[in-house]
Amino acid sequence: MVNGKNLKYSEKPIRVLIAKPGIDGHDRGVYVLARAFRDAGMEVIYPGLLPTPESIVDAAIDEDVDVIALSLLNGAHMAVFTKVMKTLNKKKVKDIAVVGGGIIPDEDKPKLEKIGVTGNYGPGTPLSVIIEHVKMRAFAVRNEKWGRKKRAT
Amino acid sequence: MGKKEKSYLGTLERGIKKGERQSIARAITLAESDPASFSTIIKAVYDPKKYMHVVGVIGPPGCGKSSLIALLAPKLVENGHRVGIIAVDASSPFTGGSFLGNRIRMQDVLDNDKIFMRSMASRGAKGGLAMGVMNAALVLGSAGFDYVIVEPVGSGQADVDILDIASTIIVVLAPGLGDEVQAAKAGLMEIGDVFVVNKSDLPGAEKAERDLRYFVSTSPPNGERQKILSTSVRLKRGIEELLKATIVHETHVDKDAFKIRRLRLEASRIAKEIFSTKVDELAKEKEKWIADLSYTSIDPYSAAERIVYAVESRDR
Amino acid sequence: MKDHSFWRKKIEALSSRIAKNNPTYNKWEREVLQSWLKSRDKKPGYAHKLTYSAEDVPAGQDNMPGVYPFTRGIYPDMYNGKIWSMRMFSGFGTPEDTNERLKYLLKQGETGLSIAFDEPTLYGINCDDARAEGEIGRCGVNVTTLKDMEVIFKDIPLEKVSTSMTINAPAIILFAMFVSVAQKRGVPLAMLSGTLQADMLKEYIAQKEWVYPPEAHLRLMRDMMVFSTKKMPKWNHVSVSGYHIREAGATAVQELAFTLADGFYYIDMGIKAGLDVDEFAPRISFFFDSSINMFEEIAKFRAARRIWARVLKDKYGAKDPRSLKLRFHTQTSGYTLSWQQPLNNIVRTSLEALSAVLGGTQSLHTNSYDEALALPTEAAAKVALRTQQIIAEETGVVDVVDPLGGSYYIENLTQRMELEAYRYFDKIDSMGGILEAIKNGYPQKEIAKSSYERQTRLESLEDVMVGVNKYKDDEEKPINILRIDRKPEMIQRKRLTSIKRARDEKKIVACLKKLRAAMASDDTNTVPYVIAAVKAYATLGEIMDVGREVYGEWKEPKIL
Repeated sequence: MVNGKNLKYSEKPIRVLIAKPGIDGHDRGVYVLARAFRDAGMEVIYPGLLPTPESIVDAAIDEDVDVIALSLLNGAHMAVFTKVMKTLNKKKVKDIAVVGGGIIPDEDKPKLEKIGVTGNYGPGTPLSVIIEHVKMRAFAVRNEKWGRKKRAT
Repeated sequence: MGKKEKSYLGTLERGIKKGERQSIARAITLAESDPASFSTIIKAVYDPKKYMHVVGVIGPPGCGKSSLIALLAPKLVENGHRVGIIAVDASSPFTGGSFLGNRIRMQDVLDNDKIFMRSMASRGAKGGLAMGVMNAALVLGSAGFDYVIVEPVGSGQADVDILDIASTIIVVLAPGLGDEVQAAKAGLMEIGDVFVVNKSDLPGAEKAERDLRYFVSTSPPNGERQKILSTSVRLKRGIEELLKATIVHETHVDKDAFKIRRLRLEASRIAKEIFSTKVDELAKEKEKWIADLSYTSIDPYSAAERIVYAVESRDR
Repeated sequence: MKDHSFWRKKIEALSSRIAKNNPTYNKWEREVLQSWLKSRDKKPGYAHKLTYSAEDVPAGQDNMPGVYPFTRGIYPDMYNGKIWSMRMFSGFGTPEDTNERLKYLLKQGETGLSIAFDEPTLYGINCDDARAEGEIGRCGVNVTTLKDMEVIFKDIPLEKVSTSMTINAPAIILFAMFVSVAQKRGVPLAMLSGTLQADMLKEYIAQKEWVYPPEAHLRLMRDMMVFSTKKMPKWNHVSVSGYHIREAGATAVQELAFTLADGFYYIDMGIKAGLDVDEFAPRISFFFDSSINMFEEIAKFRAARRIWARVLKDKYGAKDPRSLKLRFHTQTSGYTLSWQQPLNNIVRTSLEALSAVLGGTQSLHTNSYDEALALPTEAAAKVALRTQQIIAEETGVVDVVDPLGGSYYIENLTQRMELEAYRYFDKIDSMGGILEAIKNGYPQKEIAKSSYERQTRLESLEDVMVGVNKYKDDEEKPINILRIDRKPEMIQRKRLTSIKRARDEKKIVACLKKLRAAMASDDTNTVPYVIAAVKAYATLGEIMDVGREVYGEWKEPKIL
């Protein structure tokens, strides 16, 4: 696992919201991911089971997260991830990155990227790969958000 | 400060005054991590006429603080207030990361635009709070949230930092865990204003309440008799009484005196931070000079006095 | 029930029976193994005992199959008398789709039915609810009213084939629907054979698909237990599940311990409800995982039988041998399957199925090779079914009962797992019982820890998954998978609309009112009220909502 102290450009830890949109209780992956993110120096917000797209986006806004990590296992990802993205757009949120994961067939991945959900990692993906991707998206989004060049540390 | 940054901060300032959630959230992020930018914002939005009731909720892990806050907050809203909730969790000292799971128990009540919740990681701060808590409370206050409930890291110790910012301290205990004794040992009895035996539907609750009365002093520091209540989140009992006790205690607080004290403490803290940054900057600048000092036989106190002199003379 | 001395006594007795020292092994290790390794210039690479011998078999070992404590099998003849039920977990899309798949599998030789429901159904949410959008029929069949149940079982002889339903939070509603279908057809309740999963404790521990607080769900379980104990002698009112606990990341011992701890709770529950233990214990069934470490699984199944028999007799005073016989269904492990190189999964499932058979299961579901990607296609489900048939017909493992009995390793491992389980029971008791432990997050935390450790081992290659972290392909060839589109959603919604138009609204209101009163009163059995509501074509959501009003919804504790 990556040591948080080695994070290069952050002046503050990355904040990530993990959510399982839709209706599903199988949260093994959530807790493994949450722990991995925490061990990588991130602040992980988890709002619990059965969030609605509204509550996910509201939480993301209020907690000012850099990244929303969506996980879905039961095949409803196209419908449900789209709902979340629509809600983000409706609330005019432009600078929170959305990363996806779960059971997502390869042919759906380009469709998800088109609506703004990247990553879309399946089971067996090494945690370090997911962490790197989340960091990459977080820093990209931050540079936009703060409206200034990132300070070198 | 660049033009882009200035206009960005300006957007936040306007947003906070209008009570826009995204602006509040981003200002809180700056409060946690960017004192320079935050100072610009707070100077613009701070309203000295507004008073924020800050209520601290403390107690050992597992006693149901979050669930209780989730019932108290909507009641405060019913009573005409707007409520901010700040929940602090510990950061890992090794990785710097943190798991902030306090929203789990509050999820249902957060669907209310008169309630705003923020999870904060302690980021190395000791004392149960995070450095940005007071600043975040100031932002919330400026945005029209007149009650802010703060839940420090639930260690069960009397992390006294909460006293600096909260005028009412609710101590939550649960029966059967020997909490009453532990709480007394940890000094919670001295700092609490309202004591709550939660999970009152469990066996042992009555005994816990009796034990609590024994420990609670009859001549408490501020002259008010400390209130002891019984609540049950499961049965939704005792929440109305908790609301009343909280509001009543707040009514008795000398707001002006507390506000002054709170501001003074916060200003001191910020000033210390500013000075501390200066000392660090100087130390870095004068590294060679300090290294030379070590070769002469000057004691650390004399060396420190020299540094202080250097800081003071710089500012002139 | 706090009974430290009971568990402690068992722990002491078992520890004394497991040999701490095996002189034969030590001598062999010194004299034979070491010199062998030296001669081949090898260093010892094992951290564990490399083999087992007679001294490792615990003293006072049983005995024979069909004899207490049934370690070797609950029947004397086991598969010679009756092969395990080949029961393929099935369900997707509309009730029509599922009815077709059930008939197909019956034709292909499956001998028991097992219904899978979609997420809205599992949560008691109707197909026209906003939350159900996009979820209808995706991971199981959608059921919103009695009509859906009638369609699922069209042309299927309920009096001849046993049916298992994997349903938990709204179990009482689906149970009522199933019973209503039978009654409408004139099939007497006493002839209905099958199982309702309805195990809520494991929901709080692992699957996390609850709605109400624990006490409420447990009360409904109690009602179903009492109802079917009195009226349905062939019906298993609960399937105490370890599968979900294991899949959530628990170790084999944790699966064993937490599942049996749940089972003991249900025994306490039935006794508190006024039943005699021998009245309802025989119809408690179990559901275990069969994972890829073969001998650990086989030992686990044997230990489960032995523990259950001993505790039911020694702690609960059960006298009827049927109360002491642990009967279980097994599913091969989904977690061990990979989406990479999916054909490898056929091998994994076969080995896991073999473990379950050698472990003496009464019923078996084998996963299909495409299940890491989607619900099974017909072709993949067929291969999975054939896997069971090949084991039964070709391998000869069914010809001898408990062929591994007496194996030094298996007997030793069985006993060690039994001992570890007792340690867990003692710990859980000291926490105030399994329900208190769950509310404090204890089993959940243990599982989160184990699953994280597993992930760490996979990443360091201490644990290998062929094709996933070793022997990988550069590119995966896509395979044909089952895709569920939005059509089932439209069909179900349309069906619901026409049912709502045709039904007697006044009757529904009256039924739900009576149900509400029954739910609010602890002494009433709610089952007949749910049956009445279901027969009037009240929807799943409407009935579930009555419970939401009366009992509220429950939030999980913090576990990290």
